[in-house]
Amino acid sequence: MTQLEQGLRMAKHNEVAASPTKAIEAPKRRKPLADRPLAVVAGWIVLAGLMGGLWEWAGRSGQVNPLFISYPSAIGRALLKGLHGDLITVDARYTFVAVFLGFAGAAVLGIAVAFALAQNAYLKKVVDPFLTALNSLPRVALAPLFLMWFGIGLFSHVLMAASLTFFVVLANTTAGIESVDQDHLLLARLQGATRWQTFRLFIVPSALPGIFVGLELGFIFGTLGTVSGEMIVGEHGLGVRLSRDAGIFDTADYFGTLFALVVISALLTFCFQITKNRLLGWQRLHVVQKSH
Amino acid sequence: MSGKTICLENVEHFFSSHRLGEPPTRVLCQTSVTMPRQQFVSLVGPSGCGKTTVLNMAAGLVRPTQGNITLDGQVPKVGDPDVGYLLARDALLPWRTALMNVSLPLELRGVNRKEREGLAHKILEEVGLGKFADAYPAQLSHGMRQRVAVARTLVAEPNTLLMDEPFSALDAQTRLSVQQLFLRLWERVQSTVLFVTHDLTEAILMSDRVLVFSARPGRIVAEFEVDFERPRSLRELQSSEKFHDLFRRVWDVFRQEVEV
Repeated sequence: MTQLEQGLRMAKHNEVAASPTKAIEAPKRRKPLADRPLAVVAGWIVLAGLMGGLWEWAGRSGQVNPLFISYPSAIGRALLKGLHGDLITVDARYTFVAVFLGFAGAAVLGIAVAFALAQNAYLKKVVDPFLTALNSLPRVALAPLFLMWFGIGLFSHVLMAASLTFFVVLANTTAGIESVDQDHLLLARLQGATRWQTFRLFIVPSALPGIFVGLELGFIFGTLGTVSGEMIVGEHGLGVRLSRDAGIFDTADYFGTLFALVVISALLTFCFQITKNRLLGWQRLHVVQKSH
Repeated sequence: MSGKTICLENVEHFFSSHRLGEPPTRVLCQTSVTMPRQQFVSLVGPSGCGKTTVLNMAAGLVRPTQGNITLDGQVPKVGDPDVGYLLARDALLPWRTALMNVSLPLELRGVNRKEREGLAHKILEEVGLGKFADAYPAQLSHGMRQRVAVARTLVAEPNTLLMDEPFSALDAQTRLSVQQLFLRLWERVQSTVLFVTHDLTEAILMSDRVLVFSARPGRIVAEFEVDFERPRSLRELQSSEKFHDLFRRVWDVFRQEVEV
């Protein structure tokens, strides 16, 4: 052991002796990788790089025919061209306007119907089998019918989003309402809460987590509905673009459009989650105080 | 604050059987008893003896099959603002802070925000949780949660309290401290208390009078006056000779019912 090392040891020892609180502190250990954000981000970049690199190599070297899978740099160019053209300003706007209108209308209706059915047990029993039947119908199969009835304009694609969103929101809101704690309802009764107070102060807050799950899924399903409707026929929209690209083997633009679709959906979902976390902060609390 | 007189006259109760053709089960034999206002009365007995049924009748949740139960001469009704409840489960709303949970009964009665939060703050201080007003139930220990429930029960100053094993879910140490806290608050106002428990120690320590119920079908088999002076210190009382004497006398009766 060198003198320097010995000196350091002594210094450390003295420090510990001087401040007894430090003596009982746990020895500093490196945080596990999963708890280090930078390490996680680095992992993402590496994984994306690996997959992208493999893809680029496979496409460019001709290992896989680029006509079918294209490759990232070509996709990037196509995406850029699309951004200058009408990918965002026309197609994405058209698609997401349809999704939003359908989603908003269906969400309001789904929540309202769920609460209405929760108020009336008889009505619920009567309506339930019909809702189940409608819900088990593959909604994409309705697209040609909607297009036939309402034309190839925006309204048909709004309906496609709505037809999927409605049931998801309805089912999850119902589950949320049914999850209300019976003790809370007893408390409401014993404290003389009116029907409206019971609804507003006890049932709605209990149902809120379920409603949010429904809205989040409903949005994803709504996007699915609109895009698949557009793929059948439409004037504008990302789905229209996808089926056109596939028809002319423009694989690079196809992937570019998919990429835009994913990014926009992810951004909207992210905004949604921020709102949810602000409203439902209490749900994420853990026990921090064990005993008094 | 006065408190109500709870009166049972020839009350008898049956639970209807779930299976068709089976006769209903008798849970309570003809029972007549009066609990004068401001008295702290405990009902003890083996499970299924109908003690909780009596409490639910006083709450207006259950109508007796026969006979009458009255609070100050009136048929009890659910949601009476003069009557407060405390259950074993705290039933706090997880999305509301301690303060908001405590002010809930006042909110339901239309008290304005400023006033109800002021009152809720005051009572939270009294149960020793002033610093935890903004904590959510998930952030509190069992004992603290039950103290919030006590505060919620008392905030609207009910003159009659119905309590169903309110401290049974707590560990021994916490239970004693919450019991003492509750007793201190109660001794100031002396509302009428109907207290259901299966814990003899708790019943004797806290009440003025202990009613021992038989096994099902329940009837009152013995009655004990507890004339220890108030305010009581539960820790001291627990180790005193007079407590042990009474405990033995009650236990002699109670044991026979449990062993049946």
